Amino acid sequence: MVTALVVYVHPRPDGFAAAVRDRVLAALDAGGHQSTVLDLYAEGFDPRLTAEEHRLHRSPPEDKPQIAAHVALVRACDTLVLVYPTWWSALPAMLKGWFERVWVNGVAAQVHDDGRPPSPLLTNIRRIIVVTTHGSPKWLNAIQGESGKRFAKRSLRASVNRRCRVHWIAFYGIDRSNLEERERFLARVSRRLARIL
Amino acid sequence: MRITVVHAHPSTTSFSRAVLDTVLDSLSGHEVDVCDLYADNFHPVLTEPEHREYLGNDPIQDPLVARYAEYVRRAEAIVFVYPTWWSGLPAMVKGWFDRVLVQGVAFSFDDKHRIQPELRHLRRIAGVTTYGSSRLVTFLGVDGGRRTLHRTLRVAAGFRTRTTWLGLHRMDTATDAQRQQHLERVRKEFASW
Repeated sequence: MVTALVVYVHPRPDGFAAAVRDRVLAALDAGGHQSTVLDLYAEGFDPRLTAEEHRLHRSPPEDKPQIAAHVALVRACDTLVLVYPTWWSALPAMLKGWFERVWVNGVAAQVHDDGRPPSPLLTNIRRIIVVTTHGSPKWLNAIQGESGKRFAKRSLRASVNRRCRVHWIAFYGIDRSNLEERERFLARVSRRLARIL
Repeated sequence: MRITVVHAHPSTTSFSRAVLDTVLDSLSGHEVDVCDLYADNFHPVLTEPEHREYLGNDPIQDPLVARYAEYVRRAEAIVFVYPTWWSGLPAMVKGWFDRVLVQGVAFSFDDKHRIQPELRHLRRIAGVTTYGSSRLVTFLGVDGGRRTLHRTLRVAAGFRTRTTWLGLHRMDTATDAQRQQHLERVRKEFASW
């Protein structure tokens, strides 16, 4: 059984992104897995790292009670699912700030004073699944550098289990898409999730 | 030149602030508009009403965002000063992209709904940042900020726009001399603009 944390990031509680999220949850449910949804917009999460948090960036997470609830969720899951729209070829500010404020030293990785590279701490996470939409077509995203994809495939990897797999499920060209194409993507999400889980 | 400078750092005594001061000093002969995101209390989260207008006529609904958008419309260059976090732009700067660089400012749609660049008036894009990681790790890794500024933004500006990148690596263990050296590089670069 999988214990999944589904981080949902979209300003609209309804619409296509919500439909994607619901497909993810249905797939988890169908497999008899456990899932928790973290809806950052609904929670009113503030993604701005504060001056105080910056000052404490080498301190243990216990010094930051404001992130404790999210830290507990991240530590308790073995599968991290990110559902978000790609804007400017990367994560929305809301999600980027969540990593900056919650995936801190002592949670995501342990920084060492002697110059060794940081040790990963979220070794409980063995699977990362990203489901995201792009306004523009794939060829344009390739020119634009795909920093969001690199973030998922490389940056996050340094903090999780060594054998963690990263699955990238992406829709390109949503700005000019029609209903049929969007339906096809939803079906693809269900299919991929069923295979991965 | 008319230049927009975007800066984000939560601490008022940070090295990033020293870099910003150096940039502004060196650009004193130009007309400069500053988006100092923490000082201006900018909120980087794109709102639901803004998202509903993404394809519409009214994507800007906040006075501060409107002011920043006006800066961008008249800019011939944009300079970004920020610390690299999680291999990319801090949420604050990313939110500046998400909310300010919207339809009518950075791009538009033609009648077939294809995206068209609207930042052709930018002659230069520069990034000035600090990295916790080494030059090698940055090069092999993600360098999301540089990709977003030099590639994603440049697609909206055009490939005749010149790009500049000034990074200080291994920031956490950088000596005073290395920091001074970085400030000197920054001074030299922007004095030549």
